[in-house]
Amino acid sequence: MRLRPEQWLYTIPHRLRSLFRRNQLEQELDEELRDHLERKTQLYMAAGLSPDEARHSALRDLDGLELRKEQCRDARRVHVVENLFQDFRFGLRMLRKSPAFAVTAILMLGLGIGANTAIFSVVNAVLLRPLPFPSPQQLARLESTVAATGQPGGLSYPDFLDWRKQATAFQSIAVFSQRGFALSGVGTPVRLEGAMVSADLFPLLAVPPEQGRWFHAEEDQPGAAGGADTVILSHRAWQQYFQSDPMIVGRHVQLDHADFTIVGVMPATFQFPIGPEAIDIWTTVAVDARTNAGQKSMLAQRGVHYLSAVARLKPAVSVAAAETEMRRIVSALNEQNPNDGRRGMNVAAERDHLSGDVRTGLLVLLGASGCVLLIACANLASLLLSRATARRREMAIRSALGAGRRRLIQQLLVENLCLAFAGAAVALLLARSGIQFLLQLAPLDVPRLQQAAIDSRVLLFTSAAAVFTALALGLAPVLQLSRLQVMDAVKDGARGQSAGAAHSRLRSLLVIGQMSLAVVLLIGAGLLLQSLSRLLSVNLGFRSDHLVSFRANMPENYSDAQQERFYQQLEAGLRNSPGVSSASAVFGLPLSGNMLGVSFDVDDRNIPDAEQPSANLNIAEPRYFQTLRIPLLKGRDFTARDTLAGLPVAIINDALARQYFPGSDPIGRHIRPGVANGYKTPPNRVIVGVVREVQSEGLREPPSPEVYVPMTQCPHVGSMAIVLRTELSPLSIIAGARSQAAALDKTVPLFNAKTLDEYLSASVAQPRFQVLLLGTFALLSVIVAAVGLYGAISYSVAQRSHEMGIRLALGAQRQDILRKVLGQGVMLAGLGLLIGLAAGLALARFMSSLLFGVSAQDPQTFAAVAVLLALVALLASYFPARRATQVDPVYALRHE
Amino acid sequence: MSKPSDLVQGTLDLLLLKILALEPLNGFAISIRLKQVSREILQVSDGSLYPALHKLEQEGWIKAEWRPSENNRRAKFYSLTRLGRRQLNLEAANWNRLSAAISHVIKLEEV
Repeated sequence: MRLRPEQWLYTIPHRLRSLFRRNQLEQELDEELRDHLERKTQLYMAAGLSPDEARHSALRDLDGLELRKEQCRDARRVHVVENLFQDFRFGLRMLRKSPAFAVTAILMLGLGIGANTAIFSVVNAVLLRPLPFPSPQQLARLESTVAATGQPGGLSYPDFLDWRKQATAFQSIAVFSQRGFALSGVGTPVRLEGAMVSADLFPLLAVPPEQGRWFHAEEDQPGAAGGADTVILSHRAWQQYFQSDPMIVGRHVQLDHADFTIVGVMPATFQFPIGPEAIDIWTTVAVDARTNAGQKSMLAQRGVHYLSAVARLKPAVSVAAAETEMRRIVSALNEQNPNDGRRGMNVAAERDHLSGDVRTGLLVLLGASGCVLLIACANLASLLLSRATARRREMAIRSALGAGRRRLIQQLLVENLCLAFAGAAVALLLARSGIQFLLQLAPLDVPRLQQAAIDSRVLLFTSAAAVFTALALGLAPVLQLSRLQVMDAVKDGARGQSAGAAHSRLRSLLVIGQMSLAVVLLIGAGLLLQSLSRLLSVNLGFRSDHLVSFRANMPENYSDAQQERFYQQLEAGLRNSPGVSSASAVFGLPLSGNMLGVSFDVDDRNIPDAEQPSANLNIAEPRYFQTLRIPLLKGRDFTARDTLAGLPVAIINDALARQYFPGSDPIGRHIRPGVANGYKTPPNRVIVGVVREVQSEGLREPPSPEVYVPMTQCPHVGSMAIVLRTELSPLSIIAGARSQAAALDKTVPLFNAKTLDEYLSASVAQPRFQVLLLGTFALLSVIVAAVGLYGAISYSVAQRSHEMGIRLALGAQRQDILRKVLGQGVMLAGLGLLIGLAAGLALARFMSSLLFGVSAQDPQTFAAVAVLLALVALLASYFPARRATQVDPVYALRHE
Repeated sequence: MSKPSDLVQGTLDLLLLKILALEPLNGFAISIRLKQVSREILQVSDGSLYPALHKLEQEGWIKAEWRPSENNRRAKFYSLTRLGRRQLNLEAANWNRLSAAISHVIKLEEV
């Protein structure tokens, strides 16, 4: 009935009274009906009935006192709420009454929901949470690629100017590139992570500074710098290196020995570019304009692809539309500038760009944790099914007393909700420590991962998981309830085990479901484990143990000679330190992600620039190969005599030798990598040695052709990695190196001090993380599924002990019984296995990008999973099967 | 048998409203009065009376108050509200229309 507003005047006070003055209403109801009964009794007595008969007749006229009371309560229209409270209280009481069941169930759900909550909070932080900028959905990453390979590369400043002029899809475009700076004049020199940006980056991101201002437009103009360059600090840098100086704006600082003026401080929440390392200072790209004094400015060269670009889309322009336009612009630029390398273009939402390569892994983990929860649910559902059987009598009595089916179902669901929310509470506690655990395990290079925490969205997710759980759990008992026949149940409910065929079918289905989910997780974990072990057994090409490396931040104003002297003196000093067997320096340390690409010409063929092949360029000091134990296959190492005055030389790796000097001796032949440092044009170099290839770009990539040139013939490359082999602890070596470096020049900070084993372990951090988590999930799920199978078989054995007794009495062999029960378990497991294997194939295809060296249909993994599951199933059904054979026929028959 | 289902749906509400329109009564008196005024034809069971009264109260059509009754005990007396009177008029009109239509149909000559 629809209420009219004026009626609410009457009804609302009634409802409130019904809810909050419940006891008074109950008393009044009782009084009213008692009064009625007394009067009616008197009426009958006046008509000549005895007091007892009169009272009975009066009661009979009411046709069920309690039923009528309940109807009056229902009339109050708040019984839904009231019943909920009542059911809730009752549910809690039921759980308290069977603490073993309650603890098991709540812990199992706590684990299941907790795993989901923890993983979801990571997914939320990395994939879902909006970027911390106004209108973050408008931010897009413009990624310039090498057209031939599709590999992402940078863009050049002239490219950027053309894009900005021509593109119409964006409100603005900005460029940036990351770079370290040595900050001096503030106590010990430190190296800060910095970014050089175009002036429009800050307006584009639209986060206001907490002090001072953004860059002025003219401050990023090459040449316009004139006086001091400007710099903006992060909140952290302001606090840590400037003691939160309130007068910071306008102060002068020295970055790489050049003068800068601080014009602003960004708030603590601001980070750009978002990455594993926090950026502490921002300067303008104008800094690059005067890099390499005397040479052409970096900003003027279209062929120097080193910048990244971010843009803010116009409202209502899609990423796809922007990409179409940008591709058109880039291909037109390719036509106009044929000598600067053909470029391609990808546009992606900034958030997707950031989460790019971790998305699949995270989704697989989220799915896996979902499977764990499903298995836990299925397992609990079987438990509840048994309880429901035990409670048939209770339900039947409730039903006989007038509880409708909806009312019974509501009660069961509320009981499950109690369970699920108790589980969710445990889950939140577990998830809180779980997240800490995840963050410690997780690879450091996943952007925004460290911000994973329980926020409102995660809470919402957890509640949704709890409600889903309650419904999933409720399904089985409710289905059973709907078949409840009151009289049957009251009659034979006492035995509590007249479950029909439908019941055991449901139970079997639950077991099969658990088994198949466990199989899927096992397959996923197995494939990842295989990948990891293949990754770890990749031959690095060098010995990573006992190697320590660090970089020195060279001041920009160091002359080539100064730089050379600094490195050589530091190396010599370290080499003579006790416990150090050899020391050298290199630009591109393997696995450090610090590689330069270069195009080259061989054998004076004068291949046009655009068609030249490319290789990794590495710059090394003598004894580098010896230090890393990279075998020198032919020829000689660099020596101190390989200087700018001497013959230009190069050493190549055998990958390059195989590819470009097949079947011939490369020693004495010529190679000309396109790098001119120290020369007017790229010199033609004589190949003096061939070394074994190493996994310089990580474990997944096969070794590329690589050409090494001596540092003395390729000066001014920025910071080199000093690397040394030592038996001592890395910490003491690094402390010694710091004091030696300070003795040479106390303004040069050392940074990136790490062992090569640390680089190695970082390069497998992601797969290791995935294996660990998925493995844990798989293990958990197998255990839970095995318990489920054990429970189902035990239950069926208990149900059929009578039948077993008869069989034995009729002469069946105990072996037959054993075989029969085992067969039942194996059949359930087998069905689960089949479904699981099929689903596993689909999963494996989805996660194929995570795999290494193993096919998504790897028969070995699938077979191993099948065997493992068969063993577990046999074990889980063996014990109940043995119990079945020990049934005493006489006992079983008597107890029927 | 005089189960509520024997009464046309909603008729019990109409009867109760009408009786209470005459004077405020308690539950027991209502059950007696119902029998009297319908000349023993309409028998409303005691059982269905109270839920119906509570429902009308919740709708805001009748209100209840505790008063001393004739035997000097506290009893719950129901009386009609302003809203209840309007409802009574509405339902009475409906009833008249309905019963007139049904009588008309019943009186049709059979061929």
